[in-house]
Amino acid sequence: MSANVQVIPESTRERLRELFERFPRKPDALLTALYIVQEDCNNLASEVLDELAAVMEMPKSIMYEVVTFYHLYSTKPRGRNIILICQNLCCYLRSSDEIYQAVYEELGIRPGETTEDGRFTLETAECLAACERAPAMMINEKTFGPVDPAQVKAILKKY
Amino acid sequence: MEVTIDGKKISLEGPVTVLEAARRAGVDIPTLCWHPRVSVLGACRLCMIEVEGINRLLAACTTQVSDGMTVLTDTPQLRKVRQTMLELLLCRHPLDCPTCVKGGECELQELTYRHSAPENRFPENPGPYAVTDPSPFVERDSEKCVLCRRCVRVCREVRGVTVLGAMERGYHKRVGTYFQQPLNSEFQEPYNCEFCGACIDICPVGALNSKVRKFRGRTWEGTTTDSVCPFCSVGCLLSLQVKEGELVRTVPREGPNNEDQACFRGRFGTDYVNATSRIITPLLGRNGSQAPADADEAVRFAAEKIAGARRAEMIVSSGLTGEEIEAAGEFAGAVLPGGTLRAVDTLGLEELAGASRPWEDLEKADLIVVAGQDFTIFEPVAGVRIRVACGKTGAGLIVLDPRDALLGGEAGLWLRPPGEGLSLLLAGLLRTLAASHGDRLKAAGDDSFLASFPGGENGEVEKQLGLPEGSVEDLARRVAASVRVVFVGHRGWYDPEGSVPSLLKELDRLLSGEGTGMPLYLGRDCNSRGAAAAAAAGPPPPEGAPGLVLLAGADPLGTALPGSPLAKRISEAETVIVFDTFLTETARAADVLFPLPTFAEKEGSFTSSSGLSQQLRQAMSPPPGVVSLRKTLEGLASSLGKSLSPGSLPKGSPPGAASPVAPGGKLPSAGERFLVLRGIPIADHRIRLVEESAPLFPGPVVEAHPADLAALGLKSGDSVRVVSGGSELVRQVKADLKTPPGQVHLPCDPADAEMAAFVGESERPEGWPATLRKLAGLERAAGESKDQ
Repeated sequence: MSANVQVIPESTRERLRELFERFPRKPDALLTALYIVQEDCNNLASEVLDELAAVMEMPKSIMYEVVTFYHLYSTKPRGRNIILICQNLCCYLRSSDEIYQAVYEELGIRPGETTEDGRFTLETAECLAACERAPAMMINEKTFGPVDPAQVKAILKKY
Repeated sequence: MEVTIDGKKISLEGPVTVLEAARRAGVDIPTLCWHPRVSVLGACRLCMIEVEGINRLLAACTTQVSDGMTVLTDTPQLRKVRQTMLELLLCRHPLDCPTCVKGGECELQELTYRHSAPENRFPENPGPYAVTDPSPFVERDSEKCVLCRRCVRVCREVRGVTVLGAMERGYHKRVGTYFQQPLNSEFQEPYNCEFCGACIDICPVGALNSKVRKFRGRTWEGTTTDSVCPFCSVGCLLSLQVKEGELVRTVPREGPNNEDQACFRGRFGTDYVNATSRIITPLLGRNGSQAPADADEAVRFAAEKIAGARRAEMIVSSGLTGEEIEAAGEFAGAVLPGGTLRAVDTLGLEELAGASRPWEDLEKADLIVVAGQDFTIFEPVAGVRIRVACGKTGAGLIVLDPRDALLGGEAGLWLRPPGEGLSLLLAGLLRTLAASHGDRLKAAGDDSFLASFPGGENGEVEKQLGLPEGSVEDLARRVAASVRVVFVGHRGWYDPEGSVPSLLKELDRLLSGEGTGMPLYLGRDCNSRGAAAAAAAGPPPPEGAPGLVLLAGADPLGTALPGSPLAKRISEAETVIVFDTFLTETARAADVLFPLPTFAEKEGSFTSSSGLSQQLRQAMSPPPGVVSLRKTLEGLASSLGKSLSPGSLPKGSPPGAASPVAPGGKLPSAGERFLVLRGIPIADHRIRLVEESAPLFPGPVVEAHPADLAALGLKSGDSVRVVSGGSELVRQVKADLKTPPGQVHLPCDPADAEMAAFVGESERPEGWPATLRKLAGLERAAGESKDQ
């Protein structure tokens, strides 16, 4: 670990400073801080968390508890686009497994995996709050549904 | 408030939980995740209760008692719930009880024995985590973990180490570390495991075990004796388990100084007692030619030397018991020609002789001021007491310590006087209190006392120490605003003259108005307070080189003590007689060496940091032929036709004890790149005998802040030359966040004799500035070959 190289860029640190101003204590802003850093640095790997722990002035074990508790934080490198497919009851009954299969056929990735070109990462989701549109899929911040397995290829093409 | 628990009516004052109320009423409610030392979690659901008028079960540990409450703790429904909870815990818990280290004191075993259903409806399915931590001392077996998280809470709330955490979620939840790294590794910095072992004690099952004590004895085997820890001056009480003549386990027990905590040294370091490298017979001959000798022969030799000496002095370690030091004093007075008694590691402590202040006082304070080296490195249990007191009472905390060692970050005010500036800062505080807050002082100031501390005038201190402007006034204001201030001092190496105890004592006297004003003060060794009291009674040491030096337990040649004049004295002596347990550096220089028993093999007392004298109990017999120091000295005396007699050493005050030494000369001067921050050795030869502890030592390195290293184009592992005054030292440099920028920390690994000499250099520039230079290729090669 070298003190010379910064993994978290200055622009992100500026965003964090703005964030901390709105909280009485830095640790209170942890969830948002993690979100900001993941957004800018792609993931929350140990090099990133090492630096964030110093910025936040809090113990690493507590940060790691929070990072591993929440599904949407990732400690591994992720693709540029995140695909979430709901696997909960409504979507499952409407054949969400076929959507997973369609993504696999198109990109060759299973949940938790990233395409070799780093374009997509596929993850499971428990509920996307779009049960009326089951089966639902989400790419980055956009929700799709009801998704027909045949549409998957066209949807992925946009990213 | 009046409550009824299982038909028993009790009245009590709130706020109190149902669990607590039930215990007071003598009703037993089973618990697993609850523990009196840590916060309430309510995770295990074993303490479920029924409350009249409430339509669901409640956890007794999280439910507050209210007036008129009727509680049932033992109904068919509750029994069934408890059985189911246990059944669920056991379906993921391997049932390898016959080989489990915790067998016999496992809480899950006990609960199952008392409450469980006869059948198990779920297939046994332990989790996939057979984690064994590669770090020494602590073995983690996550398969056995019941996720009570007591270890996580004790690590965080009591020890302040915060290396353990409850990672992941739901079925995957497990106790772990940051990125599953070893407990003690660079990954965890700056929150690194200290191997205090608190997690092992608090674990209700066999998920956390002591690696070094594994399979050496069941908890009920052998004999268990209560004694006192021999390592530092906190004075933790320990239970020693001995099986077949071997010390197999040491655990902390409830005591006035330590509550129920201990540290790495007390728990694992005691293994030195079993070391095969101990001296068990007298040795004759010097430096490598030492050969075992018959006891009579050794006594005869020593007696001859004593009889022939013109002048002799006895030097005792502060790690000996009060009774041993007393015997040494009697011997020096009655037998030695012109005999004197001196103790090492007691500098400045005569000031505090006879006074005491219990650690419980921390819980009555509204402000705790920690002055000097932070204890979390050297005496972690002192840090624990401070942290727990602040957490319990909300007392303010002020830390005066240049290095960052956990407590600083928790303080309301943290001033970092550089180098050896602590005594100057305290003198400045005294002056400012007297000048601006006279109405707060309960006793009259002593002008002559202050006059003995030149420097420290208003406004000057900050400039001299490079502290923010107004920080001394801020410190004084906070102190003056508090009703009950407790000072906790530490004999770190930031106080080479030993002036901090008297400064703290004076501050305490002014603020409390009590004649016996006394801070809690941690000396260097387990009986420093006792040794200071005993050795202060002796006359001043003789001028010139002594003919005969006797050393009992003291190893001035092997440890980086600032007393290098003492080392010189030993090398100039005609004859050196040593009493010790191991062949220390000093023992190697002995003409005759008598073996001493270890702390586990003797009775006696240690006077701890609080001034409290605590009794050691003999847990095991010493090896045949090893007898107590008093017996050995009596043998020597009788062969000279004399006997030990109390009070034979003339009473008198040694010079310098009454008036503190002025710290005025020690000001950091500008212009030099770094100030030297002299560390204290974190281990001694006893700890070194515990092989597994090697990775915990700093090794032969110097430490500096990463920003400073970056500015100099250096990185960890580079060789640097530390130049100060006329001397220099070549060492690898290590990036260290705990060392403040602009200072270089010499951690003084006791195996690093060259650094010890550099640090012990008596001729050094004022304020001790130094430069740090990167070694060029050729120079480095030369420097490295010199190291070897």
